[in-house]
Amino acid sequence: MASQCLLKLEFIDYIKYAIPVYAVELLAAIAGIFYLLKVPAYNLVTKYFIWFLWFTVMIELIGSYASIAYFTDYDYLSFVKDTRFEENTWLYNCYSLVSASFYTYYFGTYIKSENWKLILKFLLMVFIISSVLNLIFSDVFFEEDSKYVNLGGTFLIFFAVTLFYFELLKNDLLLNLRRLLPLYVSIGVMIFYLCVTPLSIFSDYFNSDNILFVKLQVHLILFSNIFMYSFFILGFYICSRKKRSF
Amino acid sequence: MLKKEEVLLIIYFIAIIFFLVVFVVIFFIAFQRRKNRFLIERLEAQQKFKEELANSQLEIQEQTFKNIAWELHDNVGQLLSVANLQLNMLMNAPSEKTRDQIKETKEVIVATVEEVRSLSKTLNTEVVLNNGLIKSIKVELERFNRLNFLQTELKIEGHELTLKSEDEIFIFRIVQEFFSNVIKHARANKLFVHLYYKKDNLEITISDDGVGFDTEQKKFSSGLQNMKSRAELIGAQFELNSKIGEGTTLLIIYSYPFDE
Repeated sequence: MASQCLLKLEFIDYIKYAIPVYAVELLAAIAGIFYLLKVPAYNLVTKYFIWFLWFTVMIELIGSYASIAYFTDYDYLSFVKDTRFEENTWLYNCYSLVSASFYTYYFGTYIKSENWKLILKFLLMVFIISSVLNLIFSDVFFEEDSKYVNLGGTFLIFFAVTLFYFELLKNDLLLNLRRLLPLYVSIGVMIFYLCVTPLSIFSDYFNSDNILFVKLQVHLILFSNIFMYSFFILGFYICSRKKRSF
Repeated sequence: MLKKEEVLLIIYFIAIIFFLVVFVVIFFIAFQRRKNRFLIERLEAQQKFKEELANSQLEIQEQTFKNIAWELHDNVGQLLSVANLQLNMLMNAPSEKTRDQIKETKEVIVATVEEVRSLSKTLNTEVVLNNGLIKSIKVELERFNRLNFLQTELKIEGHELTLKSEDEIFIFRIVQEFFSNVIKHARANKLFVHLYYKKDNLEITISDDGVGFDTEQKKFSSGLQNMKSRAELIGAQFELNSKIGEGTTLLIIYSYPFDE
């Protein structure tokens, strides 16, 4: 989720701010694989979550085409120049939609109350359909990050995490929170989405006139990515130290 | 263009969101911990209650045994003795044939008195305590031999120790329960009892050559549960192995308490 905002920066900044993000994403995905190998009794949703992490790595790899083209002055991949695919916002718009939907689904599976599950499902459907319509009928798809998708997704994830926490509180089971993988995921995801989304509102100001804001955004995206994926890695590590896990 | 103050405001709001989320998460974890502790306390209380219940049940059982033993010894025994005296007086009867019959009856009564006495001995806690574990087991086994129920064998290894009196009773009751199961269900011919006084524990192995049973199926039968809960109460290791057609083996490993 890093490279789309760095196109107007120098190459050195790209190395400084984007490469660490790729690295933690890859590390988290690898940690996920280790988790699967070490914990034979993982549940299906956890497996989907790890697939999703690999999907993220893949998207970053594909998305880096725009950066490569830009920093090589279109020597490589010159065919994208002056087309709508010159920037990779279209890819990240799709990815935002998929990731918000996935996280909502992920926390939704832990909710046992049928009514809330139904409401969450309904909201997710509304979000997906309206986002697709938004991406098709407004001209943001190739231009910039869709504010609608970002804001809607954040609220949806926040709602799902809240329901997940309420579910844990209601539950009369003796929970070992230290060993609860979704808890680590929820902390990482919640802080990432809630902290990064406000920037999306100001994305129109992401240009050379607002050096201060640009600096803020790249740093914030860097640190919140590192924060989120470190929490995932931590969660995988701690939860894989025992036999049965959630 | 964004002013410096506006950027600061954005930073401020993001920081607020960050700290709020951190606060919520910490609060949630603390609450969850508290709830866990509460649940554990409740579970422990339940466990304790169950233990007390089992304890008092066993106490009642012991008391009942004792009462039955007294009744057998004082009442039934006395009545039989009286019957014996009566028969003695009848011995002067005229006919030879009746005299023989009376003699036989007398023998039966003497045997019965003997049985009742030894039965009352194994039932009465105090007698068991006085006799000690080994002698009590011996009395029980001799009874089986006499009645031609089983061929028994007792093997004692190591130096005999006097155990804590309650624990001795508990162990004896477990053994007794096992014996009664052997007689009732096992259709065994041989019963082998091995007491091994080791350095820091007593190992009791009892095995029969009876029909055996499926340990999974009979897991919750009351006799087994009783034996198990008794073993748990004295902190002994309890293992019952059986297969259909291969007899049954009971293993009790009782560690001596530290202060003795």
